[in-house]
Amino acid sequence: MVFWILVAGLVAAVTLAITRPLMRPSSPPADAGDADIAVYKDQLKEIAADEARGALGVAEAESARAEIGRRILRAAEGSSRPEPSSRAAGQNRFIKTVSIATSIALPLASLGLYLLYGMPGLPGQPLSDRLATATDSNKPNDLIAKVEERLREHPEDGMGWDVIAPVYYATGQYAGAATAYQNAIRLIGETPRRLQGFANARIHLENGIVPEDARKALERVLQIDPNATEPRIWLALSKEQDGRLQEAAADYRKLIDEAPEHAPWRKALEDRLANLGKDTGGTPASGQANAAPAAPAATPSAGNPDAAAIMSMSPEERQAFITRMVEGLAARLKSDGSDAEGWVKLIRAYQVLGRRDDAVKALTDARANLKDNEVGLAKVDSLARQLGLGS
Amino acid sequence: MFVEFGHFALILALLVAVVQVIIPAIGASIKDERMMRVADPAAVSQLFLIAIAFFALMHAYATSDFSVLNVAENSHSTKPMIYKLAGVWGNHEGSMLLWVLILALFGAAVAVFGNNLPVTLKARVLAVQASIAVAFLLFSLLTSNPFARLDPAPADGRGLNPILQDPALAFHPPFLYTGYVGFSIAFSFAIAALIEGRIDAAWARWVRPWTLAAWMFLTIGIAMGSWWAYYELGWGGWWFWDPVENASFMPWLAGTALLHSALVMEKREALKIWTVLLAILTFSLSLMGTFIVRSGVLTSVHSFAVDPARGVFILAILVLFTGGGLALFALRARDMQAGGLFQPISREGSLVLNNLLLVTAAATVLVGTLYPMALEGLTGEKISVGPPFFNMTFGPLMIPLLIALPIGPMLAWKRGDFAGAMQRLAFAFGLAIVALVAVFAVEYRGPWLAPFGIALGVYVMAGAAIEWANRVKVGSASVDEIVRRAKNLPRSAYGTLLAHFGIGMLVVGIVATSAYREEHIQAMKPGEKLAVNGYDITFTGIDRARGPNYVEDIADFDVKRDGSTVAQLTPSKRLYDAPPQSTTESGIYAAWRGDLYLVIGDPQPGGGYAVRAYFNPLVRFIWLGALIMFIGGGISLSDRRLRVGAPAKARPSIAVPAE
Repeated sequence: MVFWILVAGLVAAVTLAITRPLMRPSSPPADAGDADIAVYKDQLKEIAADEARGALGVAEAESARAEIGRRILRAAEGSSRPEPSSRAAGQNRFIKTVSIATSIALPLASLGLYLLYGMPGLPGQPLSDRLATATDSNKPNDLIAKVEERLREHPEDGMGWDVIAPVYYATGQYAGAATAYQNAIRLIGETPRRLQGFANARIHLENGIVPEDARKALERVLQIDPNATEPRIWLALSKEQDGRLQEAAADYRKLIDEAPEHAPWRKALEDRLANLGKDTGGTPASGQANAAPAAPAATPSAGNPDAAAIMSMSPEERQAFITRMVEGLAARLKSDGSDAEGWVKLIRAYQVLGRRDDAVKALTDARANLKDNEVGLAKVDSLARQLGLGS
Repeated sequence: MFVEFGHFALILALLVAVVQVIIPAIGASIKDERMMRVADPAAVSQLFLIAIAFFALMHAYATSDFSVLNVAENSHSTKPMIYKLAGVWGNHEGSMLLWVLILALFGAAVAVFGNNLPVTLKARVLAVQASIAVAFLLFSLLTSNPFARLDPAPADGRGLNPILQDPALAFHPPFLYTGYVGFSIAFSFAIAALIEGRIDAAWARWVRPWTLAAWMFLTIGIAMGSWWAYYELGWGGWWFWDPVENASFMPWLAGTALLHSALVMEKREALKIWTVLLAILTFSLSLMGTFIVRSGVLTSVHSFAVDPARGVFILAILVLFTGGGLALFALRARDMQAGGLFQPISREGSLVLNNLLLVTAAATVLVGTLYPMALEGLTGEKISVGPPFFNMTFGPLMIPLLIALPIGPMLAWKRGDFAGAMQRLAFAFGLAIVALVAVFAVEYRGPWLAPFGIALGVYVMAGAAIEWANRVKVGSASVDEIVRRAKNLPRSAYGTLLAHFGIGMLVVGIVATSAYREEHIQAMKPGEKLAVNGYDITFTGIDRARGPNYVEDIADFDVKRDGSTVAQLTPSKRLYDAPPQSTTESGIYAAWRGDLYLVIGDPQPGGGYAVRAYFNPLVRFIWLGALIMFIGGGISLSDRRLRVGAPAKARPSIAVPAE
């Protein structure tokens, strides 16, 4: 209610202010030439003052005066008194119409537009208010905010981190989840659940590639609980990503053999194994050779020299390094073409390197590989449009 | 409630702007004073309403109201208060709001202070100014509404780009925008004059100070941006010929030209039509800058918006105002009265040369900026027109400009005495040659063009000083007389002195730091030493510390010179919580010879850290020069006198005996 009163007050004040000049009796506009002459007269005064102060020499002042004198004459010539308006009455009626129309249109239009775009019913929600009422309101976001606020004040509260970590994970904030799990592990100890959570968050963050720290966490889980299946699946995948294809295939086979009949991941593993089979079974040697350079691309934290090292390379070395990374990625995608993100990276990399033909070829391969993956296909297609590659 | 009230105020501001376009414009054409007078309260109300909207948004940022989409996307509850407040314009929607706020501020200033303007001119100026406001308010409300809401509100915001979390964010954008938007006044005056069909005497009196104000702020805004990039981006560069930088530099070049031609116009009523054209071009270049930054045609720290709809909208605004302005100019310029006459060798003539060179320079930068974009748009091919292009084209254009710069102020209005001016400048030539020889002696290993560049800068500085010395008669009058004359010299003369002196410093700084920069990259372990340009630097260790919203690795360096410690530098690397992004904070020791600049990199596999050390000679001259130019502008602006250029009497030009 207060809001609407304020709005009404604002509209009324502004409308009144704007239409006020229209309410006054009319006065004939001054002639523009008069304004010019006023300026020139001011200039003459200025020259006199300058001369008196000694800032301007007598001769200079004289010639400046002559100059302005000429301007005044010119202005006076062009000046003419305006005819008194013969349509004064008609004009007054017109002004009245204008002023009424404005007074009606301004409030109506502003309110109309506001109702169209605004959300008058939605109160402001400063964070401090939300935190104060969070436990009553039961809104998940407010509760998260409350826990976060508490963790900022007590960053050593391990239980808090343990509570918030799965929430972050569930809402897709993988970086936050990884940090939260890490803190919980540091403060209140390792459990398989926390280690596994940390590994999952890291893997998500790296778009499905198993990074070094996640691998270590998974190995710890297996040490604590040798029967856990999930870490074994990820570790097998990590071997595949490292190019140790034979070992990965062996692990997959073992997992499938031990798997319960209706395990939901069984099918996925069989697919992966079949994919590997094409590479390792057909021409195992070349498969190995192709996949080996994939290592640096696949495990960024392990194989990548850091940015400063890249900076200190000579341009040729840098070029060679980049090429090696790209080739590694290409090899990995050749062995497993299901990674849409990988394809996107590869196409983009070729484009940046100016290898347009390779980019087009990679695009074709990507489409063939992703034909059953609608989301991935859409990503690749949109990239192709963006880069202007042939469709 | 504040948020929604702000939203309503913004909508009402749009409608007020519409009224401010229509009623005064009709009033001016039917010569009805009452309708024309509507412009004044409308302009003031518009400022008031947009200010309400602006502070409502700022309030939402300050209280972390994440039910506002803009706040949720760009703020975070742990951000220090200064970045919550400055973060208002650290994003597209908020910065657009700042843009229209400054636009309204200028409009209201004309309404309040423009009592001595002819009433029709004032009404038309305010109507044009309001039409710009209508375009940008519509843009804001339709494509980038800062008051869009979120329900339910997220737990926390996404945070502000850490590179922007720097005190400079509080100053750089407002100054820069004041510069950009300030040129709208010159534009509105130009369009009003074209509609009117005549250029009033009051026109020039108004255009020059407003242009000067805009130019000052643009100068300092650009310089701050350059300084910010220098200390924040971590490799000591101060200018990159990045399209976004060029976007601010083009209006600066055109604005500098406009400033000088407005001067001629105010004093001598010459160059009227040209000034009108320049005013249109300068503001058009400001709009183009807005387009380049916000259309998504490029990506950089500055480009907030990558939404094609916004790009098209701004392009439409750009076409409307530039195209409309130029079309009107083509139609009406012929009817305008040309101004006073002058000889080629005269103050006016030298200012025409200044204008030609500056406008050509602006055109060069324009080509270098737009060509790669156009090529990419048409063929998809990415090319980079980098510093080499600008060094080859822009550099040579600056040489004649700088050579002519000290000569101009020595010439009299209407007809000047070239030989006399050269004689008076002999001392400046002498100093330049001394500088040339000195630099060659110290830096005999080259590059061989650089000493000439430094000599040119010294010549410009000396020329500015001599001009002043001449006017107060240093060398020929008694000390009392000199003091009296120095006191009596109009403040605008001091403005010129400082602005030109600042340019000279800028040139010296640019040439010195570009030519004689030293760079070392090395892996260092704690305890190791590095020698850079006479400094002995010892890496003493690295510590981890927690900031308000980041974790920081602070390296500690002992800097010694001739055995005694001169500074303790602590460059660091920060990793921000939200968004998780890292920034480098450089450690800089500024001495008068130049800056020692340290950056700490990543830990190396073999232990130790990658350390980059630079020595940037005289680099501070660049920003000091700009600061002096800014101060010069301020002093000149404070000089409220009317300007009348006293022409020299026609007489056979006998060289004035050297004084």
